[in-house]
Amino acid sequence: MSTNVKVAVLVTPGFHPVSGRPRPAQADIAALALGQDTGGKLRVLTAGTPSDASLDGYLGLGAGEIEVLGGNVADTASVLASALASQDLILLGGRADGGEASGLLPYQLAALLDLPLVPDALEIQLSGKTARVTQFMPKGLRRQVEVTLPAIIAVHPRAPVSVQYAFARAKQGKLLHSRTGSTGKVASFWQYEAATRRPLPLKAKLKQSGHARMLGAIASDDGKTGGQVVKTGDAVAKAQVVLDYLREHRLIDF
Amino acid sequence: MQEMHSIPRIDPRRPYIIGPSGLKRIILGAETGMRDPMQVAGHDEGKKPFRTTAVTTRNTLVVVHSDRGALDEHAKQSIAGACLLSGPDTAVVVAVLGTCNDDLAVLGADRVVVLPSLDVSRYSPEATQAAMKALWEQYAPVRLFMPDRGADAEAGRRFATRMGKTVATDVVELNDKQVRRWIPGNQFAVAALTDVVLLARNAADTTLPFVGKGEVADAPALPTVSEKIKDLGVAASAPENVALEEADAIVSAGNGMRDMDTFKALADALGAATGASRVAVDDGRFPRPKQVGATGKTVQSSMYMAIGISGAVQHLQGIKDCRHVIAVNLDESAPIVKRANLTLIEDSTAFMKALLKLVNDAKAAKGKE
Ligand SMILES: Cc1cc2nc3c(=O)[nH]c(=O)nc-3n(C[C@H](O)[C@H](O)[C@H](O)COP(=O)(O)OP(=O)(O)OC[C@H]3O[C@@H](n4cnc5c(N)ncnc54)[C@H](O)[C@@H]3O)c2cc1C
Ligand SMILES: Nc1ncnc2c1ncn2[C@@H]1O[C@H](COP(=O)(O)O)[C@@H](O)[C@H]1O
Repeated sequence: MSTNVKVAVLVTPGFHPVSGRPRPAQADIAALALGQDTGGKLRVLTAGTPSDASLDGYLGLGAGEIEVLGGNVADTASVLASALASQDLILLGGRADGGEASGLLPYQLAALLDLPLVPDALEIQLSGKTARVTQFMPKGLRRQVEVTLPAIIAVHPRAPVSVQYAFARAKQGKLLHSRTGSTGKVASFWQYEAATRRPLPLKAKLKQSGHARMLGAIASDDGKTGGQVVKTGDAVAKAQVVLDYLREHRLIDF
Repeated sequence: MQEMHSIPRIDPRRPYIIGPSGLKRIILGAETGMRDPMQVAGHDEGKKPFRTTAVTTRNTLVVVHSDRGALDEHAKQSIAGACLLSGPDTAVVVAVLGTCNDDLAVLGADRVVVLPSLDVSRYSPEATQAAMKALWEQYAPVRLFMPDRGADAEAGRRFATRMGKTVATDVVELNDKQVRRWIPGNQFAVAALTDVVLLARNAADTTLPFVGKGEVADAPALPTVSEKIKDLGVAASAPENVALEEADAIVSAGNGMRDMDTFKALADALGAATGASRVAVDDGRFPRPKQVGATGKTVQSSMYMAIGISGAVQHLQGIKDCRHVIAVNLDESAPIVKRANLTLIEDSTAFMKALLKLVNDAKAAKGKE
């Protein structure tokens, strides 16, 4: 594998969704593992002011050193972009586990650095200056794409992870703190509040007749009556009905 | 006694007629009209009105990818959300990337633009961006709505960051002023409505009391752009290697399916993954990871064939999101029949053998062509 490729991996402190304990984010672990597999020169970065404990997981997975770019957390993208100017390959998770978790950072970086972005990566093969990426698609489909470096690749959380946490590595690892930008809190576009209720879906106000409302109140099963029921004919005739149904709805292509 | 007669009494079964404006009682004493048990169930159904009949001066844009010519529930929810947040002076323009066989007027679209060349099966982020830019310039929309999943999530994020639009992703709740996201740490993030809104699943309900005008508009002229990322093609992984949650087609067996060999052969022939009910798993006929339902997997395949499964609530919970459910059962009153889009009342073994033969014949015929 090419060893002269400069690879940067971006990680964020993640949190367990229930217990709230710090742990690495799944997609970021996968990004780190894919970065290690490339065999290139690896830099691991994070921006913001994470606690040391929340980065311990990445050190234990073999991150070696993590550069912590402290400072202005409200503009993560530009802080990271200036630190990543001359990298060949930037790997990051498709979506963070903490913070905003909006899945926007890869796109913001791509726009700021003017680099091609390949999202949803599961596997990466480097040969020279081209990367061949297997992309996740829903419904069990996989797509192969090719991109010329420098490029940004965002990793899908389902990407296979081969590395394992080792306590010794976590102890050996180092955090390199540096300050960039201002530390003054910048007012965020978003307001935060505790989620004490379920979100309400947007619904149309239905003007129903009294009769329809009464039916709605007494009918069980939401008035669902089911679809077509075929009782007549032998097994072959019924199988033919199914085949026609599958063809009509383009569920098979023969 | 004389007094009693002067109390006016109303006959509860007095005659009525059903006119265009609904149920109408006849003046007391009239003898015409119906007296049967009231058949009014459908009397105010019929045609739904247009969402707006005013002249529209503004637009809301919805961009969705279609899947094999159909829009999924999530895409329909995005259109519904756009309709519910558009005033009478605002038209809802729906752009479908890929072919489109659905009637979008019933979903609320006032104008429909179809761009078949941008189908999900070809990866073309730059061309998609160019098309979205052209649509944005042509319609100058107040807002862009997209479902936050798959190809739409990517296109929406690319568009918003490139064009410097404000964006809210994974929106779980919205109204005419605010969008609300759920973020880790059990918090809501709230902001004023953004330029681009990417909706999470079920953020809007698709039952609408109105329809759109559904006028078909020409697609904007698309500039030729060069892609920076080369598409080498899509491949399906073998159905048996695909996680059940991801599978597009599932053939599932319950207590009423006794012929494992034919079952496996049928699943292979259909290119479907296999699943099972809890009883079939408890029997040891299937491994635990194959169990579909409340205590098993929640699946979202386009096709779910339930063979010999009664359809207990715990099982139905796992197949809520399946688009086409086909049931094979001997019992016509099994609860699965209510959920299924198509039910065959037949013995499972006989049915599977017949379908397997038909499928193999169809494939052979196709191969010869
Ligand atoms: C807490 C809890 C959690 C549960 N979680 C799950 C879960 O996650 N998933 C799940 O599946 N179940 C779950 N169950 C069990 C569930 O309630 C049902 O018992 C189970 O789904 C029934 O499985 P079945 O439909 O295969 O079997 P049955 O209920 O025995 O139904 C068999 C069906 O096959 C039909 N049949 C019989 N012979 C034939 C034939 N020759 N040809 C065609 N049809 C035939 C019958 O008419 C019947 O409808 C749970 C139950 C509990 C209490
Ligand atoms: N503050 C940060 N420092 C480093 N990497 C980050 C930071 N925030 C996000 N990322 C990376 O960007 C990905 C997507 O994050 P987000 O857009 O916040 O969901 C994450 O998985 C990380 O790999």
